[in-house]
Amino acid sequence: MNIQVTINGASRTWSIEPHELLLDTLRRYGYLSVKKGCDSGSCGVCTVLINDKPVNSCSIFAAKVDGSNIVTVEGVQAEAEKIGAYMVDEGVDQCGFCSPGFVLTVLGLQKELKNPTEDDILHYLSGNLCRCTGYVGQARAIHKYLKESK
Amino acid sequence: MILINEYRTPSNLQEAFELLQSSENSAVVGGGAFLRFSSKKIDVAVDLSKAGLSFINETEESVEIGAMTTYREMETSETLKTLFEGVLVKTIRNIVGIQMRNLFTIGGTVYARYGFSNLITTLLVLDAEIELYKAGRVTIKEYLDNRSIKNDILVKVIIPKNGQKVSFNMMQKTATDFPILTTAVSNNNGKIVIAVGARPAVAQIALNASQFASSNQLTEDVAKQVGELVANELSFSADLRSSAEYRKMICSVLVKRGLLEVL
Ligand SMILES: Cc1cc2nc3c(=O)[nH]c(=O)nc-3n(C[C@H](O)[C@H](O)[C@H](O)COP(=O)(O)OP(=O)(O)OC[C@H]3O[C@@H](n4cnc5c(N)ncnc54)[C@H](O)[C@@H]3O)c2cc1C
Repeated sequence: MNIQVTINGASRTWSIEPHELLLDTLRRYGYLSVKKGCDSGSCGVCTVLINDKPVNSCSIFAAKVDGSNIVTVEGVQAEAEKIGAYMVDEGVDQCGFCSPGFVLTVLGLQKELKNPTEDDILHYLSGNLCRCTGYVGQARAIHKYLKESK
Repeated sequence: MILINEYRTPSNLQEAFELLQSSENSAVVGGGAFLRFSSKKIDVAVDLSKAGLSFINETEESVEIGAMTTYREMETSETLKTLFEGVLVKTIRNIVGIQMRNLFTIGGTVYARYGFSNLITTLLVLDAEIELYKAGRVTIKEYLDNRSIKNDILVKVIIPKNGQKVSFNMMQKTATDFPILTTAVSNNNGKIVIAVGARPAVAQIALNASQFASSNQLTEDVAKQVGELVANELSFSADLRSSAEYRKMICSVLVKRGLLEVL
């Protein structure tokens, strides 16, 4: 079957299997920033924005996003570099495998919550696991990024 | 791995129901986040995204939540943040991450009668009803007891506003893991209802213990006694998260805690 999407601002028609998961479609079409981690909805490394909302692409049928607007890190490179720089400053950008999903969740947070508290930030990011760093430095980095991006 | 022959997104309920009936091996897609783990061969997958089932409507007597309403929509709803002091929000707000709660639907959760479901536990003590396209309106309790309801579409969940006080408690190994046990308690002018889920079987009301709690003045000692009654009344078993004995022990503690919260 075919679906029509807007991906990183460009309109595309994709040919998919009716049971295909969005993560597999994205990687098949070359959006390799989207990582396959746990492949069961728990780790968040496959996060993309669908109509501005963060969603784990491993857990949604590609057929469901017909007509949707999708954003991956390929479409927000400047923002990703900026968020990455804050993470480097705090020493929390290590293996980098979780970074694309993490960046997109932060962008989702920025769109959804106007004045997030420390608790809001931690709650929003709780679906993005990082096995290298622990979360204190990440929280610090994101807090600074959000404050200074206002 | 799940195999789907045809994926359809009908624009209304009647069309959805007809598609569902069109083959023995058809299935409804809510968020699809659990269905994707299935190894079934599905002839027609009927996605309800465009069938007008995403809503939270409040009236004088009840709150109605459409089957396709996501956990995140529930969690950020001003109505649900205040209803029963936000117990529904408390029930779901730590389930995995926001990325998944943007997908999980109330309809998929209730229809599938998941044993681990936080939400079913709370809905039971709220005396919630569900509306099914074919079978009509039944209480959640009747639905959980009556396994003959099949091949239907859950349209909405209806929660009566009885003014009861409600609490939800759970035990998990980590903040976003599946629960080891879920408990909910409601107090409607002295009528106490206690439900326990993730035993790991689906949530159930402890009828005798609830009756005992309703006919006694609730003090700390009585709450402790009721917790033990619940643990003895319901059955528990083991899975990879916990032994049956451990579940039984924490059951009495969580129920006692819940009772003291609804005094
Ligand atoms: C990684 C992970 C962790 C989770 N952790 C928890 C947890 O800790 N606590 C908890 O309570 N839950 C947990 N869940 C379950 C989650 O909360 C949802 O209950 C589950 O994903 C089902 O919702 P869904 O919308 O994805 O349903 P789907 O996957 O779309 O559907 C589930 C089933 O219901 C049927 N169905 C769907 N909608 C309808 C409808 N309207 N009418 C009739 N049939 C329908 C489908 O055919 C399917 O059989 C977890 C799920 C995952 C993937």
